[in-house]
Amino acid sequence: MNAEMSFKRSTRRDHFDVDREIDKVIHRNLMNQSPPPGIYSTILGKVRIETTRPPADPARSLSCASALVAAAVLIVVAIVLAASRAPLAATHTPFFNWLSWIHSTSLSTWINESESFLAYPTILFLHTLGLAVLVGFSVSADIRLLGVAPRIPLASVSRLFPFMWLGFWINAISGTLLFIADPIRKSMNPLFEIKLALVGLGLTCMVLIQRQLYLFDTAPGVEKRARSRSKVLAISSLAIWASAIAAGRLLAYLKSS
Amino acid sequence: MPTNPQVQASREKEDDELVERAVHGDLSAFDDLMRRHGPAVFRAARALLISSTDAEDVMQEAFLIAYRKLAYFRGESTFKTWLLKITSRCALRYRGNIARRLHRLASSDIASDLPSTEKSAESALLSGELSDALWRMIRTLPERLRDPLLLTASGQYTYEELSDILDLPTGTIKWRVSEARRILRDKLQRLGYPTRPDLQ
Amino acid sequence: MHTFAVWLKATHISWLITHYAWVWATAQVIHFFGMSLLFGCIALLDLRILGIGISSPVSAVNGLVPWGICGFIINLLTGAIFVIGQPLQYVDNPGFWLKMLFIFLAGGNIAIFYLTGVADRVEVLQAGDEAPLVAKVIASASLFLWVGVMFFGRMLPYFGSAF
Repeated sequence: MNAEMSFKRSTRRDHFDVDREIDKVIHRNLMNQSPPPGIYSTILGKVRIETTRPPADPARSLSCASALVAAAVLIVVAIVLAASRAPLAATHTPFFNWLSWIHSTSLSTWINESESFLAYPTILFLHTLGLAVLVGFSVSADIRLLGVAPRIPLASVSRLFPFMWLGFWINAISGTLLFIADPIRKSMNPLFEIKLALVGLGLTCMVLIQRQLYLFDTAPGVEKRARSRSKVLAISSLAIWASAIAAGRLLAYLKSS
Repeated sequence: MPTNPQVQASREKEDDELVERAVHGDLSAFDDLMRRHGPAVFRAARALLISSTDAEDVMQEAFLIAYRKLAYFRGESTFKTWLLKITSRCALRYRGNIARRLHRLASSDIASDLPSTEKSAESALLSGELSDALWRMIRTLPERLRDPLLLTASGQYTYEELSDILDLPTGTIKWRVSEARRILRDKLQRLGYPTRPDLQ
Repeated sequence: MHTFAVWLKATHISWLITHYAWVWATAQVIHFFGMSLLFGCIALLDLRILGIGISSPVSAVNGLVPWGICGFIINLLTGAIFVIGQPLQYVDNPGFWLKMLFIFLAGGNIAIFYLTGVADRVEVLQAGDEAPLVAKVIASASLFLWVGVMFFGRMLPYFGSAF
């Protein structure tokens, strides 16, 4: 029941007219005005600005560009390494010399021989941490795209990508340092270039997914078609990262055998 | 204000359809929602802020926030209640901000009224302008009493809806409203205005 | 403890695990994947509570928690494979026990989260709402502890001597 009516019903009769006065005063001062007619178009204008100022197209953003560059570099390096192993016996190829040079640098020696905790163990840990962040959030995003936890808005999934890029760069740097520590054995190991190629593919997948989510945000009509595409991308992403992890782990095992 | 439950139910259904369209980017649907609920939002904002310019600002902000959060609205309450909740939170935030400004402004008519409320109210009585005196008294009520009073008196909410909007139990709201009215009655009595018809 | 480890080493399962090289390697791969799953889901919830990154309603993010638990169980199982396969490497390794300690503390942290009702207070948070300080403390502790688990896991070879 209406609050005003029920209140009146419970008031004692002798206070009746004061309450009536109070209500009259309130009505006269508060209810006399409607919102100015122009206000709706003002609000609509602001809403339009909000919706047409799209989240920056990730395809043009720095992170995407750098990710694609990194992916390309990784794939190229993988191909180069694979190709350069062909003449296995040729241990004096310029490429091999270059690798030996890297191995002889002070940075490489420091990483390998330093007793300091900050050297090899820390770099290794950072590499694992970067992996956990990159693959971890990527997996979360992928399973969301596949329908898990459907109440997480897709816009939130887009916000995970900066963390993934951070994880990737941590691994890129730590990975480079690890390579510098042992370039020759790494490049002789076929699993190494497989891993690099897989990471490159994984990055490409990420960029595609990010683009896909952006399209969801700005062009809702695209949704139906894009849904199946995003599911395919999500499954591929999961598979690629799983394989990359496998390659990385097996790398550690085959190296020591 | 339709209190007929059938009319209410059909309005709520229309609201839900409009929300659905607005979430998918249909701005004209959002425009419709604004026009349907704008007056209610404006009145609620005015009840909390008094000034109509302040109420306009809050109304704009409330609708913008509502638009942004539209995707998260899952129908736990009616759209109207949800919208008014946003409005009241906006208004309270706004008030919290300008309260400090007002204190600095010291020359605001509310503050200058306080020491001389009695006198000006008395003179208002003498000149017969009871409503002015009363209105000034209402404005000087503490906000926690004034808010429920003004909102209930606007006559458009049930106690249950208000309880939802203000996030207070209905008992508390009812008590505060009667307390506010009691204070006003006492003040009027002290100024000599007969509050009982038999004393007139 | 040590005698238990010796006994474990002598079991047939243990022999099976170490005899087939692919068992260990595969378990390692799955262990890393489980770690990613666990960390991804739990860290997401923690970040939401801390107000970093995503800001959707907490009840939505909660949908990922079962999968995080899945990741944990996967790692529990693969971890068991490691310990059964090479118990002597782990039992004398302070790094291993530190890792177990951190896992235990992380579990305790989760228990505190649920048992003291903080989880309920956090569950009702809507989009953009800020979590209470207690929840933020628990979330930071959670992140710290799980990173610690990863740290000690990685450092195992450097603590122990039997690797």
